[in-house]
Amino acid sequence: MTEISLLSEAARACPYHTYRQLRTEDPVRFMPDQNIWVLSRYEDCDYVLSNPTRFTSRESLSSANAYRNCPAALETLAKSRALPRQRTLILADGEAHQRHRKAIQNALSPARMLREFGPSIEGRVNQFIDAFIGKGHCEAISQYAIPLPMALVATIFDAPEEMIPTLKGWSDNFFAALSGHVPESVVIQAAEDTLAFESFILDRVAARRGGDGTDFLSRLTNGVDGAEALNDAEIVNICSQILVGGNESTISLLGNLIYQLATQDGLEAALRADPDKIPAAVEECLRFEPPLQAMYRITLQDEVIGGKEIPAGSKLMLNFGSANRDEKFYRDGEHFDLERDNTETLHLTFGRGRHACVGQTIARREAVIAVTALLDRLENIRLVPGDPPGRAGIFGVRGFARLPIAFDQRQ
Amino acid sequence: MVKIHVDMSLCEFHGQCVFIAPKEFRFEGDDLVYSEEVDEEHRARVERAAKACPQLAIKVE
Repeated sequence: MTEISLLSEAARACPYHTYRQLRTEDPVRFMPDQNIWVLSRYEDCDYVLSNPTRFTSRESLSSANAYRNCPAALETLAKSRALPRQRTLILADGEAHQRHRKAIQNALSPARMLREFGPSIEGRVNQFIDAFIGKGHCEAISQYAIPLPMALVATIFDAPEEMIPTLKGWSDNFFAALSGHVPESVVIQAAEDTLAFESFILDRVAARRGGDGTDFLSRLTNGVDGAEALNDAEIVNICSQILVGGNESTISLLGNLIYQLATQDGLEAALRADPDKIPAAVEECLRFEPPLQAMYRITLQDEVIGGKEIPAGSKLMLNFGSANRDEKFYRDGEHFDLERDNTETLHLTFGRGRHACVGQTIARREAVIAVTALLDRLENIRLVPGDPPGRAGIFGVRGFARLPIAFDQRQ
Repeated sequence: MVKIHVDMSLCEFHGQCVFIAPKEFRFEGDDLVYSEEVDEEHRARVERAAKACPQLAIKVE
């Protein structure tokens, strides 16, 4: 069979050609180097996501467990204040997962979040734009895509604004270590950051325990409105997922949207002419360029998927980046199409079923607010000649590390 | 008639159903309110809403 690698330089720069090759030639393919099965068709990914009792999420975030192979990091993690460590939420199954999910649903209710924080997000995006609009150019990731979700994450943790760079630094290291394929020094640093983050969260938890507050941490700590209280280890673990999940993928989404605005003829004009289409543009961008290209599951029993026999205990990579362009479900799926009806076949970018992204409603809203404000105040958004965008270097992430843009100020 | 049932122990109020089938599903404050029976002619839309539910909480008969 043809040589296919997801780790080649070409595939890492743009994976979609490789995905198409996988989808058409070998849609359920075993990759011996990574000891992983790659599922590249919509139906197969959907099947696995919809059957959480057959496929465990205990290593859902990565193709490799970086900490496990790094003794120095394990030694650091053993000093944790919140032991035994607990698999929560995205890494948990069954009843435990449902408990965490309920607590999060209560603490992070999309309706309440948007009601309480919506107006302040709108105010904040305009402040970010104020800071660069006079210059006619900016670096869209550090000056726009990062500040927005990080402001929201800080609000969720009730952290002062000065802490945002620290929180972001922790998040970056956690995420890099999770993704695997990084130097050992990063894993060791991430372990140290885990302890610092833990102290940050547990000090706040202690200050709230037994109180009558209704903020996010109070709700997790004391269980407000009928939700169950969680223990320290659960809270720390969930909060690290909220920290990383609350910014990393949203930053990629915002960068991907701005890149489309800057490079696609007519998109900016179409959205300005009809702002009601902004949610459709966000949805199409989510389908077209999933910030997280894949999630992982492990088979709990022998399975046959796409005619291939897969033994119990096998790691599966659910290739959302490919599934979202599956010819069987998406006509001309390799193209960004503002007019596409994404309600016909919902993309898998946020997953589906029990583990579907808990922050998806908030993420969509952040993206709509961010694009609305940009279109309101900037026009002729374009890339900067001689200063090309730089892709995020982490395996499985589709986004930008740098995205310099130029624009004209709207009068 | 098309019968709709939402498992409220799974619903997380992401609102995809409200977006796709606003006649059958709507938010009232923080609650999801839905029609339990609708005419056959609306089946396609309701099934699409069920398929779009991130939590797979909507059953259509």
